[in-house]
This record gives sequence, C-alpha cells and structure tokens, in this order.
Amino acid sequence: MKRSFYLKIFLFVVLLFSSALADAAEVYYLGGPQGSSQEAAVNPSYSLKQRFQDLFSSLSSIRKDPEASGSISGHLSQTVVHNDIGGNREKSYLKPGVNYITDLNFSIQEKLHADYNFTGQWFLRKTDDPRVESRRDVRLKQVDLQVANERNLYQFGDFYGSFSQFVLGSSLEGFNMDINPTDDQHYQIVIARRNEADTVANSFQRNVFGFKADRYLFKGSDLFSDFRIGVQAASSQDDSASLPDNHTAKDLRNTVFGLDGEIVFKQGLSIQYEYAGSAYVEDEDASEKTTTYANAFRFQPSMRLGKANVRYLYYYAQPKFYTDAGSSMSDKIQNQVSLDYRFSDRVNVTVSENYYWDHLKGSSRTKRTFNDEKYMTWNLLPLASRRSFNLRPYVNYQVRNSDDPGNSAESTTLTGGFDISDRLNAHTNWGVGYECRSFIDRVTRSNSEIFHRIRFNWAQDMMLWARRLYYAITPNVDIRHRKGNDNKDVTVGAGFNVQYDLFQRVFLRMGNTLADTNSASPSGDYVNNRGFWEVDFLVDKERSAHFIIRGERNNYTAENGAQSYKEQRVIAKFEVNF
Amino acid sequence: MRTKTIIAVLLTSMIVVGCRAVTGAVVDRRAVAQESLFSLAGTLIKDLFDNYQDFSMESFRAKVAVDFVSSRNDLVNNAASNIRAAKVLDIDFSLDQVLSDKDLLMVDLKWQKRTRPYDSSNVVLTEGFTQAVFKNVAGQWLLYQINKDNPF
Repeated sequence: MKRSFYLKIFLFVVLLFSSALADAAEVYYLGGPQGSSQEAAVNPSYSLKQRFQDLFSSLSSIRKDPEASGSISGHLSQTVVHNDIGGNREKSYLKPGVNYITDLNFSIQEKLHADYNFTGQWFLRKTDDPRVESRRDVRLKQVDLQVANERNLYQFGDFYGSFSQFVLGSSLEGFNMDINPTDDQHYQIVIARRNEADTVANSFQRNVFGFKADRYLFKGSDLFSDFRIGVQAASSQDDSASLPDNHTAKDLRNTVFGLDGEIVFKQGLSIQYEYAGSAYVEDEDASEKTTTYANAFRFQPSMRLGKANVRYLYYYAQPKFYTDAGSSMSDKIQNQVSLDYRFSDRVNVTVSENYYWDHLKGSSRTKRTFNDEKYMTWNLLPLASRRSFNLRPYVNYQVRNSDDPGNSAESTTLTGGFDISDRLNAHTNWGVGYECRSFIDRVTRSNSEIFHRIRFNWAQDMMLWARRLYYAITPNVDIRHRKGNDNKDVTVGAGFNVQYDLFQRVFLRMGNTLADTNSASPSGDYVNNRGFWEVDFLVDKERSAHFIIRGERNNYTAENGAQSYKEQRVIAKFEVNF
Repeated sequence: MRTKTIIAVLLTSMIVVGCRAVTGAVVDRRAVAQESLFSLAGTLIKDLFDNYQDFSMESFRAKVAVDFVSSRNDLVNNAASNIRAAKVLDIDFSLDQVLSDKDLLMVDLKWQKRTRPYDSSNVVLTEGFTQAVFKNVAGQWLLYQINKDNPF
C-alpha cells in the first residue's frame, strides 16, 4: 500500500519535471541558459607559472588583484590565557594555569576554465584548553572545497544542507551539488555524513542522502510573481559496520519525503506550504524491527491588504512523525494568526493569536495540553517634533490547560511592559524599559509569582582631550515575589563600558558589571562583580593586525560562603589578516 | 530494482543537463571569506547572549525570526520562564564551525552558562553544544533554528 503510494508520487514528480528536462536539453542546443540576459564572462587562460606567481604574490598585500588568476587570504589569531581561581573552584568552568589557542583560517581562490572558480577554505585549531577542544592535536575544524559558477555549485567538505523545513536542515560533511540548468529549474543532491562513529557516545556513523528538485512555473505571468513547486527526499542511515561488533548502538534508518512550494500572487497574496511523510526504523538490527509511517503538514498564507498585513500558520505533525536531518515538533496542531496594521507613519500595531495542542491520535502522552497565547505590541512615535523618540508598549497573555481530571497543566502568564529609546543629539542615546511578568499556577498556587524588571541605559560619544571617548551606563533592578513568601528577591545591577582612543593606534577599553542580590531564601544573598580592562594596539591598519592585552576579574561573594569564588584572567592575543 | 534504475537515470540526466547547459556567466557565487563569516557569527552570538542576559520579551522576540523552527513563541516563552527562575551570571562560548547557505548562517558553538536559581543558594553550571541557524531577513540576521542543546 505504502509502496504504491510512493510510486504514484514518484510518477507525478517525473511528469512534472520531465518537461523541464526537455526544455533544458533544447536550451543546451541553442547554446545558452533559457531566459538568461547576462553576458558571458569567461575567465582568461593562465599558464601554470602565472598561476603560482599570482597565488604567492597575493600574500604580499591584503588587497587582492581581481585580474589575477588566484589568491590566498586568511586570518591568524594566537591567544594565551592565564587563569587564576580562588574560593570554590567547582563553581568555575575555568582551570587554573596557562592555556593557549591558535586559530588559522585560510582560503585559496583560483579561476578555472570557462566561468568556473575554485574556492578552498580551511579552519585549523590547536589548543590545550579543554573547554574548547577535548584533544590537543591540530584539529581540522572545517574544510570547504567548491567549484562554482553563477548557476552551479559542486562542493566537498563541510556544508549546511538545507532543503525544506521537515526534510533537511543540518550541517553535513561530504558532497553537495546545487545546479540551476535554467532560470526555472533547480536541483540539489547531497551525499554526506552527519556524524562519525563514536564509541564513547555509542553511536554509528550516520550517512545522509538527499535529493531536491524545484520547478518555477508561470514565468512572466500577469497573475503570479513567483510560483515554485519542489520535491525532496532525505534519508538518514546508520552505518552498522562503523563500530566494533561488541557495540549496543541502535541502527537507525529514517527517510523523509517532502513536497513544498511557494505561490506569490501579484495582488499581494502569498502561500507557502509543505507536506512530508516519514518512515522511521529505530533499530534495524533489532529482532522485531518495525517501520513507523507518519505525516506532517504546514500551510502559511499571508496577504497585504492596504495598510494591513495578515499571516496565518497551520501546522500539523502526527505523533510518530520523525525527521532526523530536518526539523519538526511532532504530536502538535497549531493555528496562528498575526496582523500588522499601520495606522500612520507614527503608529504601527501587531496582534497575534497562537493556539496549539498535542496528544493527537496515536500519541504516547497521557493528556492533552492546550496553549492559547495572545500578543499585542505597538510601535509608536508619539512626538511629531521628535521622531527619534520611540515608544513600544507590549502585552502577552498565555493560558495553558489540559484535559486530565485534575487539569494539572492549568496556568496563566501575563506579561506587559514597554521600551523607550531616544536620541538626544548626534552623540547621545538613552532608553528605559519596564517589564512585569505574572505567573499563576492554578494547580500549585505556591508556585505562582510576579517578576518586575526595570532597565535604563545612557550612552554618549564625545571628545576628551582631542580623543574619542565612548561610554555607556546600564543600571537595572529585578524584583521577584513568590506567592506565600513575604520576602522578595531584589537584584540591583549596574553596568558600564568605556572606550577611549588613547593614541591613534592604541585603544583603551574597560567595563564592569555589578549584581547585588537580596534573596528571599535564607542565606541566599550574594554580590557578583565582574570587570575587565583591555589595551588594543593596532599594529598594522591595512592587515588589521592587533595585539591585545586584557585583564578580567570575576568575584562572586555569597552569604553561603561555600559558594563563593574568584576568577582572574590575563589574556594576550595577536591577530592578523593576510 | 527497476525503480532504482529509473531514479539513477533521472539523476544522471539532471547532472548532465546542469553541467552542460551553462557555458559562461558572471561569477558571483564565490564563497564568502571564512574569516568574515566567523567574525559575523561571533557578533551575532554575543549579541544574542547579551540580549538574553538583559532580557525583555519584546527585545528578545525581535532577535528571533517569525518563522523560527519550530516555534518562536515556545522559544521566547521558555526563555522568559528560565529568566524568571534564575539569574544568569555569565555565559561564555567558543565557535566550532560557521557555514553559510544562501540566506542562512549556521553556527556550531560550545557554551558554558552560570546561573543562580532564585529558590536556591547554589550556583549552577551548565554547558552544551548548540547548532544555531540565523536567517537574513531584509538585511537583518535573525535566529531561525536551534538544534541540540538550547542555551535559553
């Protein structure tokens, strides 16, 4: 039954794209891409000697000659860090002592035959900092080799494979081919792996194979400005030979087929849609393996009506829908409507209603949870004579319910607030913000709470002793009140940042962030004081070469002394472009 | 077997068509310099973490794309709930990989977060590995997708 279903889909796709192939073949014999109005720009021919000369002479200057056959460019940074930790070291993610990090990015560009170009990019890292890398040898973090012209791309290495939302959206390592034979066709093929075999994580190497085809119809139509229909499939398959025989890893197989598209009418209506079907085997090596089939669908029309813009989203994913390389939230139905309305060039309103629930047919959940969210925000310029003064009030109301006898999910959250930003003159900005969030847990009342946050910021750019001085001050207050507790958590914070251009090529930066909390819980008070200073020497302006010395300090002093820690860091960094 | 043969023939035809149909066009499909992408990715991630620490629902929401996968409302509400439950002391991160595809920018990063829950006197350290995808919407890079560990 399933087999016949997929065969019908396949035949539909073949019929849809067969005319495209015929067009493409005709175009080839006519000698150019259909509908292309661009002039041919074929690369000149270069001798091998010339290519080597161009390549290595490009290192002498940061400005690459566009007429040259090729060039090398990149970025090198070397960082040495000294960490000193006092107090409770377990509360620090740093390790005492000296660490270094060397990062090297470099690229090679080379003009090839006809209009094709080669680009090779490598990112290498060596470090002994366990936070950054678990291994100390030179790591090839990223490699990307591309041969491409305006329409076609042949890529080997690390790349981001992106089809439709349900089918593929993941970083991969392998081969990617992206071709556009004519203006109305697009094809993509992916043969790659998602991850290597890992004995510690007990997982096989996972390979991903994918294919995508897009067809753009009704070009030049009076009705449509865009009409795309696409089909795609991606299959994730674990390689069970990639681990030794004594493993217990599960051998996954997941195939997702998708049909998506976008229709844009010239009158302002546009529709995006996607349907996907998934087949999923959790463990192919299991004695009783079962394949589960499920579907997902999303439909997103939007329309411009004068000063209004309306968007709607319908999202449906069955509980058993599974996509390994794509993205979805299975076991969910969602309806969302948004309206943007511009009353005038000074008043703009956005209203949104979002209603979704789970526990669809076949779900393993024990109850259905409903979420109903309403959001409204205004973007206002209240003063006609002062257009820089911007006021943005907003309110969000969310109700959660469930269908179990005790309605164990029942809660209400109300958030309201405003942001004001203003520019006093060309050099001075200020802003203020307030937000109140009330959470009512209707099942366990003592979990209910109310949270206030007040923020202020002031920033100024000025000249001091004929040198540029920039500073910003950001005080803030958080107040949290939990039901059933007379005490409140009150945090008073203050931050400042300064940059002063000490000399033409020497910049001084410093900053400090203070948070002083008076806690509602016993022995919970603390003060966190973090600061830094930095001297930045611009060694070579053209190559953007910097030598930076930086000091950091982070003191956490708690009423419960066992939690206190002190961190001090001195960082020296050199970086240069070539 | 016959189906596989048909698929193979179809794919081969498309590859041939793709390779031969174009014989000369202006080159504008060069990969963006890797160092520029790393610099952009570092700025975007730092801006996002700063915004999270100095959280307001409206400003954080403005950093997230309308069509965030899988739900912008869920991400923002989850972040708001976590901010309400614990004070974020600091977040540190290092970039692992930065990849681009048309209007998308994918950033692999390791992060460490230190928080102080309001209902406890213990400092909590969490760390994770995140794959964040940004989307260029009218010239502005907005968070479009988060895979693996969610730092918010």
